[in-house]
Amino acid sequence: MRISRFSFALVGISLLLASPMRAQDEGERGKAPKAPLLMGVAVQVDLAGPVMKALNTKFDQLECGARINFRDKYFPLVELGVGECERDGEQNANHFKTRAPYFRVGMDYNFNKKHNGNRFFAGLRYGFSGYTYDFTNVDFQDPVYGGNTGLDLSGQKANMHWAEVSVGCETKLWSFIRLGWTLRFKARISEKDTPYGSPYYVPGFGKNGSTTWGGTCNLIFDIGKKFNTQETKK
Amino acid sequence: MRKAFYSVVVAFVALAGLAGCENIDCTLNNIVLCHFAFYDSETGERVVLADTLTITAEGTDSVLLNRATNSKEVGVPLSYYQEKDILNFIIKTKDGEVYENVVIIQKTGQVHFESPDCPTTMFHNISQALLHSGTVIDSVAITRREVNYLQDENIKVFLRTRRD
Repeated sequence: MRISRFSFALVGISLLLASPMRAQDEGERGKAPKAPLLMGVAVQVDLAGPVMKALNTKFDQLECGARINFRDKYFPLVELGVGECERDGEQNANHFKTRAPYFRVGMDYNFNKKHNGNRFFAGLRYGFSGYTYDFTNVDFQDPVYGGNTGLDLSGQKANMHWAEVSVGCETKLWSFIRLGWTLRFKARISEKDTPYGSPYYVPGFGKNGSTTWGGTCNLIFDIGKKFNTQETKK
Repeated sequence: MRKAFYSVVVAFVALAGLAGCENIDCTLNNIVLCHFAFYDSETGERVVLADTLTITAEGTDSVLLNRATNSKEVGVPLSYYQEKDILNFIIKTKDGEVYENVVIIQKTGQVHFESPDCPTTMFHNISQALLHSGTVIDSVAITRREVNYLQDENIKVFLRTRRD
């Protein structure tokens, strides 16, 4: 709980750091010229997933994506990834394991009217993952009548559809390389479970439940047309 | 530019913190029992069994319920793997007389799990409940077939008011 509050505080601080920069840019440069319709495409990779994997967190994902830039405002996108989780019960012999692909499609909207390299996004996404998982417990036994047959529920099939509402920002690091993050609220639309229960983790969604939070830290490679206010003024 | 870069880095650390944060939400009441409630066989009204009740079962040395008195409803664990459980309701009156009543529960099992941190257990679906022999128990009737974490009544046990 403490960690959670700390994390939200850090997100808030980062937003405060970014806000004055935007105001300053707007003040100096005045009204921006209209951007062309197609401003290029970009591919991105999520840096959070490999870090989570290296830190051996309870689950992680490797994710990449691509998007199109319309007028530096509308960004239809697709994200593809592989989510994995292998987890043992802390006080029992339960073992859960899954590794499966997922995808999201959606669009980001850039609120920054200046084409100064910074973007402030709000977005919507639809996500889906069809996956299999294993749930085993070698010590599963009847506590009253006895008998230890163990439990092996391998290859259970399930799927989930979900929606995401996201906010985020990104900035230009160098030339066509950008860095950004998103914070996402995820809500389950529908789920197909096994009769045995709901799996602990859903690839791409995170810890299973009706809602959850997530986020990405993206390294973005902008490809295509360049357009910014400074260049236009010259 | 520099501020924006720092904001991204700070946010990245925050997201890593979010990812590492978790609380365990297992169901608090995670005991699966078959609930028997007592009724008068003539009036059909809920009654309290004032006599001492002990319940044992075939297939286990464990006593499922030990010398309960003034029982309105009792909960008994069912077996994980047997197709039918043979329960012996041993009722001892205040006069010291002992009556044995055998109830047979036919059911199917269904493994149930939540998080890896939560205990894995077995739910049941009762297909049939029969009174095999009894002096005090007149009959039994299923009211809820699913035996799970809910503590609602599963089986009505109708007691004879007169014991000849």
